[in-house]
Amino acid sequence: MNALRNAVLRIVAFCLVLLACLLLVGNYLMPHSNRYLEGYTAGGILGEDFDTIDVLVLGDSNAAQGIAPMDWYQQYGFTGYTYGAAWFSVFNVYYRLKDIYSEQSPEVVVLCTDIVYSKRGTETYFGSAVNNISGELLPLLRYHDNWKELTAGNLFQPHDYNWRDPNKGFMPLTGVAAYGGGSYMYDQGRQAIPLLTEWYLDRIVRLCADHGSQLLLITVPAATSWNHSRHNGIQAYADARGLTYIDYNLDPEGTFGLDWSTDTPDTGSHLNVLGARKLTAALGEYLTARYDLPDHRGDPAYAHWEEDAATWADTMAKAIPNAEQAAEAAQGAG
Amino acid sequence: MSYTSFGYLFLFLPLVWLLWAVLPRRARPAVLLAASLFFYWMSAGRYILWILAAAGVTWLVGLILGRVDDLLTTARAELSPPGRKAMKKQAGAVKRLAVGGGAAILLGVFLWLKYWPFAARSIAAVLDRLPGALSLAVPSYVLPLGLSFVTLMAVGYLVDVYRGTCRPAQHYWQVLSFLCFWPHVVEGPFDRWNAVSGPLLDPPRPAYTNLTFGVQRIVWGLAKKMVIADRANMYVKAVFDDYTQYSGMAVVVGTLLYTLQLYAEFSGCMDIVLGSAQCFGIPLAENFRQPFFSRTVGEFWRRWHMTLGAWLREYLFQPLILSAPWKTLGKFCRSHFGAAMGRSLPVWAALGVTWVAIGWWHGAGWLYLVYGLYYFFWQLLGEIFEPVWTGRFPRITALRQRWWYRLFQRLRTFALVLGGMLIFRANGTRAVIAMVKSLAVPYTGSLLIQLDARDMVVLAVGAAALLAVDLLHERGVPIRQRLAAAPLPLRWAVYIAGVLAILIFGAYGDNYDPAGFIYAQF
Repeated sequence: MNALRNAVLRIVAFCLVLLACLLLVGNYLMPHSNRYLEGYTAGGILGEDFDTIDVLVLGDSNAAQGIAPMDWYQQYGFTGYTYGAAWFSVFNVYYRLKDIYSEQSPEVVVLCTDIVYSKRGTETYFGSAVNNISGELLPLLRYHDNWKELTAGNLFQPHDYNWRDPNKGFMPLTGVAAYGGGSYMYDQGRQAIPLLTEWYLDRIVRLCADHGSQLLLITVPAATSWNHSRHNGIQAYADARGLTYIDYNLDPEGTFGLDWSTDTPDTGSHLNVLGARKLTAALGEYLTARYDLPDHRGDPAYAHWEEDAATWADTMAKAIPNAEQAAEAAQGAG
Repeated sequence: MSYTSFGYLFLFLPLVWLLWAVLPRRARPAVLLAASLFFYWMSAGRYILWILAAAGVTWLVGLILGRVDDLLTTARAELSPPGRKAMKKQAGAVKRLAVGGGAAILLGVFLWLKYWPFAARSIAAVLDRLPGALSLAVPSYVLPLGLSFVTLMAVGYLVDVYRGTCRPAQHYWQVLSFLCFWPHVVEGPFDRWNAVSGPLLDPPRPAYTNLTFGVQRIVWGLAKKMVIADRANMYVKAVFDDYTQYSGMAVVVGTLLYTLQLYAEFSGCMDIVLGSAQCFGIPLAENFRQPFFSRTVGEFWRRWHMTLGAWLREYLFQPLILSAPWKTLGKFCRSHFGAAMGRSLPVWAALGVTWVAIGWWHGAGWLYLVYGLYYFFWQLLGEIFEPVWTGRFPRITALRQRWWYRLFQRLRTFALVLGGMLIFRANGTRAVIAMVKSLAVPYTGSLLIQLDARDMVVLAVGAAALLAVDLLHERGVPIRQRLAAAPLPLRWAVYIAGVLAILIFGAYGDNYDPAGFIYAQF
């Protein structure tokens, strides 16, 4: 019995020491700047002043390329940030939202639902969930490859997470490659939400409620990865939890006016800057009509948003003509 | 369920072990069987029906063979000598029929699924060139997981029972447990019933040493697979899949890295499966014994994928040599070519058949025939020239004891193996010819293909670590036992460094494209 007890104690002690080492090394290998915490610029939210974001958009690449919060600031004065990166999952979003809540208290959380069914082609939903959750719990798994970035100069350099993104998480794409596949919102079935995903969705719902945020579900238009069966799955989930759900693939207001011949850079997978501005405008209109969002323009506490707005205007001044030119060329070629 | 997946390593294996350890001894075989079936079902879904059926055929035929032996033993005492002889003859015929029938069913399914599409494709290609409207549809089958491994283990079991070297299993679940045991169902090793059935069906008590040594071996296997093999795969994939873009040194480095990849991956997988089985006190057969220390091609294949070589030696080569047609061939050769050739030619012929089998076991295609014949050619050349060398240069026997000559032999064998690896990985026979030709064309681009300089350093360090461990094993150093005897802080530091090395330097995540286990497709 003593031998068994000793063996168990040894194993447990070893596992604890190992876990401590994994956490320490994982922390050390995290990027030196929040600019590189995620794909795209999602990590920039950590550089924002505390409690300055009114609307937080969460999602994957569809969100990051589809929603431009600086347009909202310019037009309505409320602040937003799009926290999205390629292949983000519900699991990733849950843990990041927990982190974000330690610095921000958004009034509205907009959850883009593409992430609910998102997984890489070769993975199972369960395998994808396990990989994502383990990556969140052990940062070493996510950032292990950062050993390549270590140099003699930055070996002992402390982390600096004060970088701010003037695009507020939005990733403007200016290319145009039309989607010509026709209607994709016709399937009347209902794709079930995978069990673990649903559990984590519920955790997100609870997290938002606990922090006083109102949760809005939306789907960013994506002709090649979305369909009506998925829409029905999300609608059923939203109905069961009393959540509002807007699927922009259905163009609910009839005014959104997305043009798949000009508004996508990759034949319907994502939106380019032309499509993103249409979607952002439609969502902005809905948000201002539905929620009591403040106008921070002119508020000295938000002075750097004015600076970022100027940078944003410059960025768009270049991006929009480029995209329009690409759209003309694509239509001409078509 | 991949052996390197989180689900296998952190859910399946620990949960099965806990269940196995806490349940009473009588229930443990059932835990292993249930776990094996669950593993198979998770990995291959409805193809579980095939393994259930294969186990059924194997069990039934084994039972018949055992019953015939029992009848013979019982009747022997009561019969007169001529009666005994007649009965033995009859029993022999029944046993031959039973084992032949069982093997035909098992091998028939195996050959049909694995080789008929290739044969049909080849026949269709010939028919296309002939005048007339003859044509043949080429089928395409999905192979059940572990088709080759399970089939050959089942046939080996039947032959062993037929020969009387093992007693048949009395219950269906026992054969099923043996055949579908999850550590050897995907990539082998080819285990023998006699070696595995004892601890599998009557498991030993859970032991701390078995558990820790098993886990250590799994970690070492993971390091080989994730740090070395999956990293090298990116370079190899680029060079071999897009071979027209590369030449000279790029092809040499690609072939070297493929050799490293295959060794790290296959032996790493064996470490994971042998370590998994060791946690349960079940010793599976070793499949590698420092192959790159081999001095001849023949020795290389006795150290590389050892259980395949042993299976083919036991159940193909030796029966062939002892078969009536081969004896006739021997007589014919002796009368026409003299005593020496009369002895050698039938052996070489059997060797040729075995090499063709080795080649085609690896895949149904002409490339794999070339692969087998490549090694046959070098082995035959060695066999033919050995007496010539030793006759003309008597000093060579003494020279072979010198370290530098042994090193030369190892390097020579390594170079020949590299040629085999190039054939094995190339995308078809035309690609082999093109890649061999391209060796003469200097490569002017960067040799950092898909990998950066730091990745190459990791590969170099990984290869050095592999070599060092193999060297210690070759010298008979029991590494794990030595480590277990070291002071606890040192021991833990080594284990933790090992785990950290895998997690930090492993080629997984967004920046890599890890390959599946290569031998899992056989």
